[in-house]
Amino acid sequence: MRAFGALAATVCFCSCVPTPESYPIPPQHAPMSAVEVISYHEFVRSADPNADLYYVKDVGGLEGGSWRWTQAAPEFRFTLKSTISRRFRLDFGLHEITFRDTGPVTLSILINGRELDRPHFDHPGDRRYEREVPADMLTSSSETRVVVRVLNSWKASDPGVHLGILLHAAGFVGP
Amino acid sequence: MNSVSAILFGAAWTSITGICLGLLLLQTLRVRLRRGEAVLLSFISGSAILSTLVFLCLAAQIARPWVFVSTGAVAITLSVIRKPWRDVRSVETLPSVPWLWRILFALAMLTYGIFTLAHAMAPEISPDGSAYHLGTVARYFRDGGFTRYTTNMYANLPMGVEMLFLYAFAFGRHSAAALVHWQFLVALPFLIRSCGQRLGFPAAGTLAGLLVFLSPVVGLDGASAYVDVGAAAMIFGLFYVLQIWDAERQPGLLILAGILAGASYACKLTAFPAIFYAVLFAGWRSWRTARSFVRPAAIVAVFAALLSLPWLSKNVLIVGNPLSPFFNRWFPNPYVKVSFEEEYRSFYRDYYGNIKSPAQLPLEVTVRGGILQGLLGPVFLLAPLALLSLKFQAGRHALLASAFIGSAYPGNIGTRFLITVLPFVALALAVVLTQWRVVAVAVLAFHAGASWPNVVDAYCDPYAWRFNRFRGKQALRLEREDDYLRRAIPAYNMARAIDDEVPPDARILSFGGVPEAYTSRDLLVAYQGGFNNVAGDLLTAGISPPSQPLRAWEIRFPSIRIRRLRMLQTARVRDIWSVSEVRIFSASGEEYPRTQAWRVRAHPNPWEVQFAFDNGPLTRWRTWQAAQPGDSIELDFGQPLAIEHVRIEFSPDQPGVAIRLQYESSPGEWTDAGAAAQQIDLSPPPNTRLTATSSLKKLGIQWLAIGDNDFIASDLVRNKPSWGVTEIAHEGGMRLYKLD
Repeated sequence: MRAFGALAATVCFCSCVPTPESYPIPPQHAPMSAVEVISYHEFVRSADPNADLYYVKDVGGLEGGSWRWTQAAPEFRFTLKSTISRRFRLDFGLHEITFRDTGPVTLSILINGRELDRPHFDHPGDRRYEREVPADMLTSSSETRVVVRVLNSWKASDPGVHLGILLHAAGFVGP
Repeated sequence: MNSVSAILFGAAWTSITGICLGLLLLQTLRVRLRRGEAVLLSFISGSAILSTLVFLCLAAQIARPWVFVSTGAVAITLSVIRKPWRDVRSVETLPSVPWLWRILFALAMLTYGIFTLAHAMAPEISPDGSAYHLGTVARYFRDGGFTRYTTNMYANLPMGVEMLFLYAFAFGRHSAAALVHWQFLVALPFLIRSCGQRLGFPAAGTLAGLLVFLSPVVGLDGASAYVDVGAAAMIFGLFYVLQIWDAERQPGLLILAGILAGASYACKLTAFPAIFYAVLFAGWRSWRTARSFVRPAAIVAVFAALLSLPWLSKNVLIVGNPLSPFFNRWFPNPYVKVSFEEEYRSFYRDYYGNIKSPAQLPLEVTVRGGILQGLLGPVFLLAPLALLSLKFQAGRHALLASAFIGSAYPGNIGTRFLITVLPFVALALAVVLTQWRVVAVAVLAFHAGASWPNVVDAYCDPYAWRFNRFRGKQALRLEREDDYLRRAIPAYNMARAIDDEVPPDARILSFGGVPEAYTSRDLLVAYQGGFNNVAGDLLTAGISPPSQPLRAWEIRFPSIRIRRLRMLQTARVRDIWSVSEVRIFSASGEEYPRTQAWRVRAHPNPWEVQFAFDNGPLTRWRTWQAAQPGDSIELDFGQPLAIEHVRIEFSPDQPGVAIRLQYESSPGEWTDAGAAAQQIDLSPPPNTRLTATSSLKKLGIQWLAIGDNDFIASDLVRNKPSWGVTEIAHEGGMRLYKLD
């Protein structure tokens, strides 16, 4: 038993990573000389070939060549060149059949987690929504995330399936 | 891929070897058991011994199929020669199970047994099974032994069950390993039933065994390459052995209890209370019968240590922390960061804040199962009735065990972490319910119905982890394994692409998602290790200004000749203190070139202090834990330098940090440098994307596997030239890049 006690104590006392008292100066990184070329992507149409890069979640596949069904809270990502005098535009449709069940539809538009607006739509059909976005809600130094919550989305008989809007295009326009 | 026969052979060879070793052990310990108990407890105890033998093979770097064949052959040969079953099995029988319960048991075991068997034999697609459980097994098998595997914190967990997986994996690969776990799933209800018979409650034991076996999360866990059911069987075996010892006081049973207690910890880290339970139970029950309690407790403790110390020792040798991946403040090391550990613990205490109150738990773990990743079945809402079993000794002992084993649950409240407690709760509950046969049968019928996969779908959360369909076709390989895996795990396609495109010695950085069990390359998942944390931090800094050196502390003072200088952090904040660069200036305003005469050190995290002196815009030394007064970076110039100005460049993600600059005015005496530090803004460093990937190449990383929803994913796609990467493959929602 003494041997095991000694072994257990040894395990504990030896539990340290060998660490030098100090370290020398490492090799120095050389400054970068290449010119950086960045592409900015601020607007997406459903039919764009790289459209999937803009969608974070809740946006379905391309249908009819120009639109996509969303679920209850589609989320988008954009990279903006500037934040001044920008407007958020959403081109979408409200399907007649789902509209019969949901009635007038309310959207909650969030930009980087903050609510921009809560527009209300009384009729089905194609719509364009556009609104100026305060500069302090946007960023040009990292991704801008936009969530379009359909507050009264259409619920299918399959549990967990919600349909939102028919998405044509979304993104930032202006100045 | 693997034939059905190889899968069956791998699993069968493991269990046969285990049973033979178990019988030999029991014979050596002169343990005698009643009919029906011997095989079950041989399987459990022999698995503990076999697991330890595989550990030793890995330590000796001889973990090869021929060694495993030889081990099994020796175990079988010795069993044939020594005929241990004659000594182990006494003529006494256990109280018989009433015929009704025997029929119900057989029906339930057959029905759900076939369903779960098919799942186990089908290709492994479970999240943790296809990631670290079998990823580590596959890696050790390829290497033939333990290696200095410091980039995956999961490899630091005790892996007793994975040792058995490895034994089977050598012959039948992933499905053979899962089938080994399935064997524990099947053994567990038999163990519980047999224990119930031993304790004088045969019907209760039968009902309890089925309550556990039919539980949705138990079935799925047991039919996958997870370890919870294996650990549960080991712990329940320990309980069973202690009950026999309590009644019969066979000395060999104390040694066996110690072995099983240590093996319980070896199976699963959160089973460590089993050791305390076993030691205290042995001591308490000895004291109750007016015998010395020290010796029994000591015997259990010594043999528990024998099986658990190897895992602690392995961690000491490889990562310098016996309790890794936890307790990194107690045992500082560069392999698991304190900040990661604290965040990890915090996540699993309330599952990312989704469990806001303990009142949510009963429905979440029994019925919903979405947040906590699995459900026990609504019948376990009756669990409080188990308290009524306190009037029986069997109930008291079962609930005592459940209290010990369940004490670790608050550390991770996932439903799976209740599997090890479930047999005890079920036994206590069954003792109560079987007082009224009609009630007990009705409860069983309800549970059997409510646990059938189609029925579970009707009431559980849509995201609950559960069976979805019968996988007979996949189990028999009527569908090609590769085809099935490609559609069942989209990221499997990336694993295959990695094996096709990436050279064997290359390192790939990922933020997660690649099933590590299906690639043979060195995958560094950003959250899984200290080095990986640094690499992931570097990569995201390419486009994340909060991680870039956009600020600096400037400290100016009348020129002083200084040999040693230190920066002290003085605030107690949650921010992680980091330093991108430290620059030293003379009175003429020129920066002193860094020389090899300079020596630097830091506390905490001394191992990464060089990042603050490498002129790399994105590399930075970080404390990797909440900043505390006394954190420091120190420079020794080797000789006095006339210094008038120090600049400390840092990232803006640490607003609460405060700095004081000191110099050594005489040996051991530190004096403030006088002027208060002023903050200035710095221009963003140029070409941060290319800098990030260049820095990764200096760390030896040449490849990236990035998920389409990862933070940097879209920027990488759009700006490949700026990152200096070439896209090699786009599979399964991930992109593989080579750094140019």
